[in-house]
Amino acid sequence: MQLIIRYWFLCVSVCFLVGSSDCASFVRNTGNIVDEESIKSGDIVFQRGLNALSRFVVSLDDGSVYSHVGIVYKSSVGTFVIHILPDNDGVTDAVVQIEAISDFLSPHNTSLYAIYRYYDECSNVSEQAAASAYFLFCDKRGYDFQFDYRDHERLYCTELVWHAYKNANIDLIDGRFEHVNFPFYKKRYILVSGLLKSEYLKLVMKNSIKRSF
Amino acid sequence: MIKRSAVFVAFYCAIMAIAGCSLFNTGPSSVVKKFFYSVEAGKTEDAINLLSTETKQMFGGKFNAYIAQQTVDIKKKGGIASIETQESITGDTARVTYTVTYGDGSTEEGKNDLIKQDGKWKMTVSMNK
Repeated sequence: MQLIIRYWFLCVSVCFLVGSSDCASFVRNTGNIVDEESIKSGDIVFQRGLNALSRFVVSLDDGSVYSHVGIVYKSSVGTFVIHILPDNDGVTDAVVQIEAISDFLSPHNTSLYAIYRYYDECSNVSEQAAASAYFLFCDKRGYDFQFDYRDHERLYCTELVWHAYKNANIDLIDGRFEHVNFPFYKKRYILVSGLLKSEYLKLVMKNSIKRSF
Repeated sequence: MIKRSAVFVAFYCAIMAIAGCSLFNTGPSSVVKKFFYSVEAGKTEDAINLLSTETKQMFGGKFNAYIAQQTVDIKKKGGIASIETQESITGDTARVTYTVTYGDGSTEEGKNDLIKQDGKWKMTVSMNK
């Protein structure tokens, strides 16, 4: 009974912290998501969304079935994912956001996910990376529509994760950037597949999410 | 007299048809060329309308500003002197290889994939394999 009360309190705290108005759905969705106890700060969460943009991202990156990525940040009130997405309306300036992992992996917007972890669990690299990501969130870094990995004032999703680990002195892709075909976009990019291939990461779990609503 | 008029009309129609082919051609190469020339002319909206729906969504609203910067850069290079293209079409997908030569002699080479959306070729982003 005490455990249930603690769990309920945790759920309410998370909803309050992230400003979610849909606490009921948060509790309902927990049956589909990962066991938060088994997740650590700094873990990397790969997600495949359900919308057309997600399908498009997957279609252009042969090496990945995932379209988005974020980094886990655990606090006393819950387990969160720090990530960044482009704005939907093209007007508002999207910034790094923090979201309860249950919302990040909600069946409403996720079909597949995988969680990877820095291989050396005895080191504090993961915690450093999570702290770095949290700083990027607090600093309200904006979305980088120019996809320039050298400009850390603005970030895109894979760059956020890569940059957080870079601040912990780990280059997850070992300098192996990718190129894309599009006029004027001659830079080097960090793709989801680049992170998935990282020799520094090991798979912790992966799953497909059942849509039961 | 009537015969001469008929020949003239037929000749006129043939000329218009040929001109029409080059002006309104909407093949993959033509779309890529239009994209570059629209950017050069600062016609950002025209350029963006040549992109696939998903590509537009991925680049988001800030793409306009990025394109505007390319207009400035092209002007600095003396404008576009010529664009050479080669295309390969497989069903509803195509790849255009292009070489843009600028007024200052510098060139830009690249590839661009296109897909058919609502019967029209639209430019899309792809991974460089």
